[in-house]
Amino acid sequence: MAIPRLCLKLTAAAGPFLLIASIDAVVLDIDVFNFRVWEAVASCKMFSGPFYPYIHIRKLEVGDLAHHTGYEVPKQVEWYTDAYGFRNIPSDTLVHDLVLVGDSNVVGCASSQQETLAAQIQHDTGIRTYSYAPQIDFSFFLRDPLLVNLKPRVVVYSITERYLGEHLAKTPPISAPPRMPPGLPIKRWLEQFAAWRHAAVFVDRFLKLSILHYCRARVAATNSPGIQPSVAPKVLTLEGQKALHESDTADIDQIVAVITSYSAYMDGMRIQLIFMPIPNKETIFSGQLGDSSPPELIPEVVRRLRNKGVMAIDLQKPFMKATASGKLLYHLDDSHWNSQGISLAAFQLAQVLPRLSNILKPQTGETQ
Amino acid sequence: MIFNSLQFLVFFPVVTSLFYVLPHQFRWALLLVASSIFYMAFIPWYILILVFTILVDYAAGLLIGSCQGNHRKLLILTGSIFTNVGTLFVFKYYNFLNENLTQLAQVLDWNYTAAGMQLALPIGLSFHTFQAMSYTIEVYRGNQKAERHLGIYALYVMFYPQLVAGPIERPQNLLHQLREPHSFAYSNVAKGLRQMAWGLFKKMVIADRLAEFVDVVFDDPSKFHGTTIALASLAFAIQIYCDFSGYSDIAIGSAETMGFKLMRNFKNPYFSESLSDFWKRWHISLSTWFKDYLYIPLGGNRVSLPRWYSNLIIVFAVSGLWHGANWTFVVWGLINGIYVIIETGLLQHFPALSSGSAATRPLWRPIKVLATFALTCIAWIFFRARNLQDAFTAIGNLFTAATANETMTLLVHWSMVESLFLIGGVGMLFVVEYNLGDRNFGEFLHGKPLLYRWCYYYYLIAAVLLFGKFDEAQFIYFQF
Repeated sequence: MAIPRLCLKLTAAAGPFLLIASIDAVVLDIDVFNFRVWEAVASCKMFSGPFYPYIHIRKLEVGDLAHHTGYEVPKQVEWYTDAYGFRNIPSDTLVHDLVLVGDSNVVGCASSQQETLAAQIQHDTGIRTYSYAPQIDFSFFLRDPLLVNLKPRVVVYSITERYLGEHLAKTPPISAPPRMPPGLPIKRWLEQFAAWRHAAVFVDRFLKLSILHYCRARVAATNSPGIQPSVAPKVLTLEGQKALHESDTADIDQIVAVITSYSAYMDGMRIQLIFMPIPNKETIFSGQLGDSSPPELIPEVVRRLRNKGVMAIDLQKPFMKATASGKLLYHLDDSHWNSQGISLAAFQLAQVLPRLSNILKPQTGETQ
Repeated sequence: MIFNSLQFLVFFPVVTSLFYVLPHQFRWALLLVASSIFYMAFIPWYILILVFTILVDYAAGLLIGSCQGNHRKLLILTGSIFTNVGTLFVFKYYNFLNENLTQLAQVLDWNYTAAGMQLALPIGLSFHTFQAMSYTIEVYRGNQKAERHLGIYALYVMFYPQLVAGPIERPQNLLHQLREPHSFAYSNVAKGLRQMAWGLFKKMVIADRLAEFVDVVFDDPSKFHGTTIALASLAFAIQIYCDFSGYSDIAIGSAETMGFKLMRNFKNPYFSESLSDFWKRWHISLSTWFKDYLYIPLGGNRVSLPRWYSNLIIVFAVSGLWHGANWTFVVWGLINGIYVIIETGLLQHFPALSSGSAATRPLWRPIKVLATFALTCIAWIFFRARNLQDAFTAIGNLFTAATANETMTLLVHWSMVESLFLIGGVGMLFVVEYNLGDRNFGEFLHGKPLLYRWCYYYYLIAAVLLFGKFDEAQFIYFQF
C-alpha cells in the first residue's frame, strides 16, 4: 500500500504541471508562446534536422531585438520545411546544383519563404538551390549523408561575421574525412514515418516546455536584448559597439586556413566552394554606433582567400555602399538582414556564378 | 553532479528505487557505485585521490584497532591525519602559501622561486577529508570499532548525499546505518522529499537569485556606498544561509528517503540570541568537529583565561581557513572569535545583558537576535569579499551615503514580480524556519492538514519552476 500511495502522491504533485505541458504540446497551436516562428518549429532533440519536418506555418512575427517592446515591427512571414527539417519547400527530387550552408541569415530568420537567400538565388539564376541551414559547423555538413544525395556542384558557405571569430577561429582545418554524426541515420530512417514524426513532435514540444519558458520570461520581464545606439535610436543591434573590434592576426590566419582546407576538401569531391561571410549589422551601421570605421575582418579574409585561390565574396563593400545610398538592408528590430539585404547578397553571388557555367546549368522547376 | 541539475533529477529516483529493489546485502555496493558516479561527474580521475585517502584511512583504522601500544596508535593516527591534511594542503592551500611566501620574499629581498600548481580543487575535499579524520580519531579514542569491511568504510567516506557539502558525519552515527537493513517506509520517503523540495527552494529560488545582486556589489565594492553595501551584506547573509542550508536539506532529505538519518546541520542560526549561540546553530557538523577535535584537545575553556582566549582564536582562525585559501576567510574567522571573546567577557561582567531589565525584557530577545544578526552580517562582508582590500573598502563605504540611483540601478536586475516574490519568499522562509523549532521541514509538514501540505507542495514546485535559477545560457535563438 505504501508504494502505490507514494506513486499516487507523486503523480498528484507533478500531475498538474505535466498536464499543462501536455496541453501545450497537444492542444495549443505550435506558435502560441512564441513571438516568431523559429523557436516554435526548432527541434529540441528528437529530430535530425534543425526544425520539425513538413511544416507550413504563417505567422505575424516580430524581430529578435525588440519583442515585447514599443520598437517591435510586426511582419507576416511564411515558413516551409522539408523532409529533413531544413527550410525548403518540400520537393520530389533531392538533387540541387547549389547548396547554401550557413547560419540564421541563410535560414531567413525574420523573412518569409520567398525572401530567403535560396529562394532569391533560384529566382535570379534559375539554379536549383538548397538551404542547409542553420549549420555553422561546416564539417557537420561534410559528415551528413545528405551531401551525397544533394549532389551539389557548388556549395556556398555563408556565416555571419561574428561567427568568424567565435567559431571559425577556434576550429582546426579539416584533414581527414569526418565521421558521421552518431544517431543521424537512425533518426533519418524514423522520420520517414508520419506516425513517428507526429509522436516526436509531441515529445519535442513537451520537452521544450514553451509555456514554462514563456511564463519565466514574462516574470523576469526579459523582453529583448536589442541595444539602441545613441545616434539612431530605431536601428537596434545585438551587441552595439562591442561588435566593432578588429580581429587578431592569429585569428584571421586560422579562419583563412580553415576555409582553405574546406575548399581543398570540396575540390577532392569535385565541388566548388564559395565563401560568403555576411557582415554584422553593427559593421554596416558602425557610423551610427559612434565608431566611424567599420572592422576590416571580412575584406581581409576575402582578400587572403582570393590570394590562395579560394572563391570568396566580400559583401561588406556593397552593403556599406547601399546603406550609404539610403537603402535599409537589415530589419529595424532584428539582428538579421531583410529582403533587400538578401537580394543584394543574391545579386553578388549571381555575379560570380557565371564563372562556373561549365559546372552549373539553370534548371526549370519548382521555385523556393 | 550537483543537486539542482537534470542529471540528479534522473540519478536520484533511479538510485533510490534500485536501493529498495535490491536485497540488503547488495545495497552497499549499489550506493558505492552510485556515489562513485556522482563524484566522477565532476572530474573523473580525481576519484583516485579519494580512493587513496580511503585506503590509507581504512588501513590506519585497522592498524589502530589491532595495535596495543598507545605510542604506536598515535603514530599511525598521525600518519593518517598527515595524509589527509597533506592532500588538503596540496590541492587547496599550496598556491595560497606559495603566493604569500613569494610576496614575503619580495619584501625581504629573498630569492624564492617555487612554481604554483595548476590543480583544480577536488569537489568536497574539505568535507570528506574531515569526515575521514573523525573516523580514525574516534577509533584511536576507542569510541568506534575499526570497520573491517572496505566497501562499507569507503561508502562512509563517499556516501553521495553528503559527499560534496556535508553534513560532516561521525562514524558513530553513520557507519552502523550503512550496515543495517532499511525497509521502505512511506514516512521516510515523504519527509525526505519534503526536505529536498525545501532545500531546492532555498537554493534555487532565494540563494541563486540574491547572488545576482550580491555579486555585482562585491565584485567592485568601491563603486557602492551606504545602504547599497548594507543591502548587499544582508542579501549575502541570506544567500549563504539558503545556499548552504539548502544543500544540507537536499543531502539530508535524499538520505532520509533511503532511511538514513544524517545529522542536522543548521538550526535557525539567524534567530540566535548571542554569537556563542549562533555557533551552536550554524554549520553544526563543522563547529562540533572543531570543538571535539581541536578546541577540546587544546584544553577548551579548562585552562587559564589567556590560554582559553587563544584557543578560541586558533579554532576560529583555522575554521576560517577551512572555508577557503584566502586571508579574507581567516579574518572572518578571527572576527567571529573576537566576537565570542568579547561577548563572553561582557556577559561575565554584566550578567544583566543576558536577560535585560524588567522593563526591557519583552523586547530584549528580539534586540539580541537583531544585534547578533547585524554582527554576523558585518563579518560576512569579509567572507564574501574577493580580498582584504575589497572587504575594508566595503566596510569603509558602509558609512557613506548611497545615492538612490545607485541602488535602483542594481535592483533592475530583477523585475517587479521577481522583487516582490523574493521579498515574500524571504519573509516566508524566516517565518517557516522560526516555526520549525527542533524539527526539520520534512517533520514540520508531517501531520499538518492535507490542504495545508498540498499548498506548500504546489507553491514550492511552482516557485522553483518559475523563479528558480537554472543554468540558462544567453542564447538569442531561445528567446521567449
